[in-house]
Amino acid sequence: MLGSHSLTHAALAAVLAVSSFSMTVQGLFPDEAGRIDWYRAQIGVPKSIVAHTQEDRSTNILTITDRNVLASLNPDNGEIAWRQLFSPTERINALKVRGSLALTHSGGNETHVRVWDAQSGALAWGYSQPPSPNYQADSGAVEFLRKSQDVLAIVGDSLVRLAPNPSKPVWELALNGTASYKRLVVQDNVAFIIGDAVLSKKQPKARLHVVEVSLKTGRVKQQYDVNTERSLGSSSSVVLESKEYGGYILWRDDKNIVWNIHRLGMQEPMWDIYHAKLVQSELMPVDMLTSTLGELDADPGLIADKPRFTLTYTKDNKVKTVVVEMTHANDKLELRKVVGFRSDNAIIAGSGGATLPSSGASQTERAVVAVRTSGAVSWRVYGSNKTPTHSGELAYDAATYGPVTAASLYYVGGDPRVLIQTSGGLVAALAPGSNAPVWFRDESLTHATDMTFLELPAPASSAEHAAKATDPSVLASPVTRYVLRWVETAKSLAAWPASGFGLFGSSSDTEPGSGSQSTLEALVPTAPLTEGDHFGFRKLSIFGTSTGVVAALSTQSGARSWTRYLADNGTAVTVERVFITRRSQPLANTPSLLTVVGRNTYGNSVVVVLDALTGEILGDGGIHVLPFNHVKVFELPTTEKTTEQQLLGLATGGSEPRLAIWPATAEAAKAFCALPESVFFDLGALAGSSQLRGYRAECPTEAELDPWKESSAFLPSRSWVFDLPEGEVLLASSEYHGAQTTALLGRVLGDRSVLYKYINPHLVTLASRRAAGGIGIYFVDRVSGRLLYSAVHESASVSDKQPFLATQSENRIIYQLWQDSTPVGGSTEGAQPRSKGYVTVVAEMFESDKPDTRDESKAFSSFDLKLPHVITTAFMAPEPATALGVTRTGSQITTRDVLFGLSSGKLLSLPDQLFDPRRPKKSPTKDEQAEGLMPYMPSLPLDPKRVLSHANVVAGIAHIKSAPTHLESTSLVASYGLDLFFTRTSPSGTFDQLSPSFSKVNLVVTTLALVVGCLLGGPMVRRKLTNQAWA
Amino acid sequence: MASGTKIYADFTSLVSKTGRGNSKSSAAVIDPWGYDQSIASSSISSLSLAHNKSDGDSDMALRDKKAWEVAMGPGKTLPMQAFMAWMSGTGVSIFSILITGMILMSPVKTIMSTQQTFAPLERMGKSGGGGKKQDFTMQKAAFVAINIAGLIFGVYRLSIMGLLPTASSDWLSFIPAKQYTEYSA
Repeated sequence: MLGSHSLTHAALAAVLAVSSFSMTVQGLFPDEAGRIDWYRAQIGVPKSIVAHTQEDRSTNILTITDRNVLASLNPDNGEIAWRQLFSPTERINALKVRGSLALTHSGGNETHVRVWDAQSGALAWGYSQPPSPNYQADSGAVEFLRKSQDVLAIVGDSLVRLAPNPSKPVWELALNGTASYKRLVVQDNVAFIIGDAVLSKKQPKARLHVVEVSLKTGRVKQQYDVNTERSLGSSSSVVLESKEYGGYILWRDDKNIVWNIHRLGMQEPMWDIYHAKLVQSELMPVDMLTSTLGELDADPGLIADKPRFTLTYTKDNKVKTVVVEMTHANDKLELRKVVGFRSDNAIIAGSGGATLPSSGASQTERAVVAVRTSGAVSWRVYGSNKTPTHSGELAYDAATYGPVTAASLYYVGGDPRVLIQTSGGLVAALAPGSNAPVWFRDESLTHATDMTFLELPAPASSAEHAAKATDPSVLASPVTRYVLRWVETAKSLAAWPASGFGLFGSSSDTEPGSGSQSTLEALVPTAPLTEGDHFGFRKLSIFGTSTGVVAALSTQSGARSWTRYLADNGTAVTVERVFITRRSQPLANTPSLLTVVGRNTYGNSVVVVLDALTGEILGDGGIHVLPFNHVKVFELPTTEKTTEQQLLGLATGGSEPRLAIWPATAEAAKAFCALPESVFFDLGALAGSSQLRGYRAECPTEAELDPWKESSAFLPSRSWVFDLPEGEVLLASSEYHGAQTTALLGRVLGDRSVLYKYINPHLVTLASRRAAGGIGIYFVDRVSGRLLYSAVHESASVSDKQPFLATQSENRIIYQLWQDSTPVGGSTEGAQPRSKGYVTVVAEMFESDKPDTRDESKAFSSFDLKLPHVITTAFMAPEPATALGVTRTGSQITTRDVLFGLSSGKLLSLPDQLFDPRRPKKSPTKDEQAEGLMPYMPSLPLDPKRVLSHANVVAGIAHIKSAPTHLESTSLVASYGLDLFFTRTSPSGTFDQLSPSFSKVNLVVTTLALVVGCLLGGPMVRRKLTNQAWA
Repeated sequence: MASGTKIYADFTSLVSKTGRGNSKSSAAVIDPWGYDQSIASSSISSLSLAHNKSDGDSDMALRDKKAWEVAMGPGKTLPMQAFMAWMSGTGVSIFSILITGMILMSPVKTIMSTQQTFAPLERMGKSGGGGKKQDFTMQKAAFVAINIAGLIFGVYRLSIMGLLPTASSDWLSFIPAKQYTEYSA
């Protein structure tokens, strides 16, 4: 008996020993910051790039981006040296660099001019111009003055000269709205401002208005119109400027082969130059008619002696570009061709003035880079003659990030670096002699519109993979799979002593690190991530972006698994939503499907189905352009039978909306019509609307379903209309995301009675701007159109700083807004003085106000005449929030955390209990104490311990998403917007994990000691018993 | 045997029924000095007379009384239990649970052992009453009732500790979630 027992014990010990080394349990501890989370600082896609060489001859790249960021990048690895985030409403219009100073011009009518220290990113000084009624849209420009620290700027409707640290301008010239001034040409004593003149009936033709201003006094010396019939920025006009030769406007008249050149400040003479002479080559007039001009240098006024521009024309069906330089010879203007080349699908860019070529400060040796974008990306740098000085190639697949759209050139220690940008949002630096980028930045996710999590299949053992190839029937039963896994574990146990008992080396996570994406990762990920982990921590987060990129990232490390650029007819598809429409089983042959819904440039709906694990576009057509444009896409609770694809509904707008489905097959239509529940949807929940309309999908007879085409659609019937009160305009709406699972249907009170939760998945929260001021809140049922609850925040308002944010989970709705001290337009008489600040409001809905009262019916229908009992309370929020979210776990047993993306770049997680509207405002009663309610505190704590992003500044959080893991305690949290930050959190502690301090060695040793004790002690006890029996 | 033991034997024989014959035979023995036969015999006869009378009723009554005492015994512990319960409080702690467990378990155990508790009295009744079994039904009923009262007190204590599934919240997890008859998006 004892022998068999000890065998069992030994086996148990062996099992424990094996299991202790086969998997590592990961818990959340403060020291794991940076290991369980990852962070990527981003800047957006550059609009303008200026290389800035400092006095010590080190170079920094300064850029302004479409996400309103001014950033300095390290030219060696592309990492952010510093960045300054501008308010989303204050668009950065221009960036100029002089010496160690960077100058930005931002805003619209209210314009801001700021000067930054290019080395540190610190603000040197700034100036703000108040709005003016005469402001012309899009006007604005800025430039440093020569030989002076002063700045000349077109701000609002004025031209100002600013000295450092201005309290007011040195002088200010009101422009009186005469033109939309966009260009500033600074010379030694005067400046020219050029703008598109305001068109009138008398003068309907486009012309440029030029004003010459004295720099010293700010007085207008002269002003006149140049009848170019071209506006600034047109492809057949350029403004040239240079130190020596002054400024010029060069243009070609429509349907004319003659080029006109106007020297700024001189009304006569105006030179006319024929095309042929311009490029020093014979051109047929036909070729000249289609030729275009382009400005070459990003910052033309910087060091340029002589102005340059490009001329592109088509000759014999070949596109050619020449770089033309203007020279003066014997008081005669001459345009000289510097270099010319074929430029089909090529981007021509100048070095700008900001680079310092290896030869030193020679300003005439300005290079030109030509980047060929079709096929492999190849580039050549030209100096002043025809042979390229440097060239290189990049192995690049345009299907990953789209075609190259922009290029620029900078130098690092005399070596040229070509910076390319793709339409998808990739920025890469290329160097001669390497077909991989020196560094790259994937900025596509700064335009992310939607994100979804894909559960990766649990890791299968190699034995299972082998079985899949030889005998797949083994995999059918979980028992045989379990046996298979144990057999493999036993085999690996044999190799265990040889591996040094697993003490050396780890092989648990071989994913590339995310520390420095720029240099560590390959531009094209070599192997997509296809297997998850045992705990569900490693999933794929699949992003869709408005730049046409769909990208899959590991939630654990941020490593890119695959990226795909979706384009229709050469232009990017604006991806709006991404859906996982089929989840594959482990080791199954059918892939998980990702359905991407977006829009092409014409507004048509576009649907693309991809293999979610590899990013491969599936189906014959690839990209399906549908003959309608949707206003709403949503998941339908059914699947097509043969492909097991989940159905999507695409609703079109207009007075008679239609409901199309995807996949657009007769089978899918039949599956839709076989749905047991009626399908309702609402339209009009968009900002600016004043009416919400509800529709019910109607099915025709089955015969009509059969020839179902992509253009086919159901005709839903309008079931209700919800009009906002007179004068109110919808600001925002919010709804539930995903199925609402709840562990408990009610709230247990202190006296053990139950308040039953009112969980209505059809509830939509509307926030409207009231005509009399304030914000109106409406809870509307999307099925019946009934108003379930409404509230008015008289003194509240929303702004760009604090937009209306809401999150809904279970029976609780949390929203945040700005509350002013006095009601707007309302009477303050008798009203309590209100606090001013950011307010978080919580509304919790119950079936009844009386405990233990419940609607006993088993089914919930929105047409039941029951209204929820709503309890609300409000808290002072510590900071303006940019996004709200809630953690999600598998069964929702774990308490939730409410997640705040703060404008200060923090991701804050606060426990759900804090937001309980039942928190007692007086001293708590015994029942309230028993219920565990905390006494009400008006302000929400900004507890540093609860900042999930810890030391990282997660800028511009616009969305927070959460996904459950296989551990009930833990949920994944993802935030995106500008920066990406992924982590996992355990709101109720890691109750289902062993703590890292748990000693498995001790456990094994103890068990072994017990086994040894049994083996040794057994015979002794037996001998003693025998002796006793003889006594 | 020594003379001392004879005196002892005489006294014992007087009270025992079977020893009466022996006392006669012992009369042949010279009485100790100062022994008054009349006094001795009268007292013995009166004693034996009384004994003979109670053989029927008073012995039964005595046992009855004794049985009532036994039956009421658990009642005396109730206040003590109540005091202990009060001292341990209504919170759910190891101490209060132990006390409540004891309060609950001891009546159950005692009820289970009712027959054994009364068995000695019944046995005595059997031998005295010439094989007639004395009826303790009332006492047993009272005994059980008092123990049930103790049990009820235990259950009451459970309920005030909140350990009885009497509230709706105790059944909350068993309520099925509602099915939604509509789908909306």
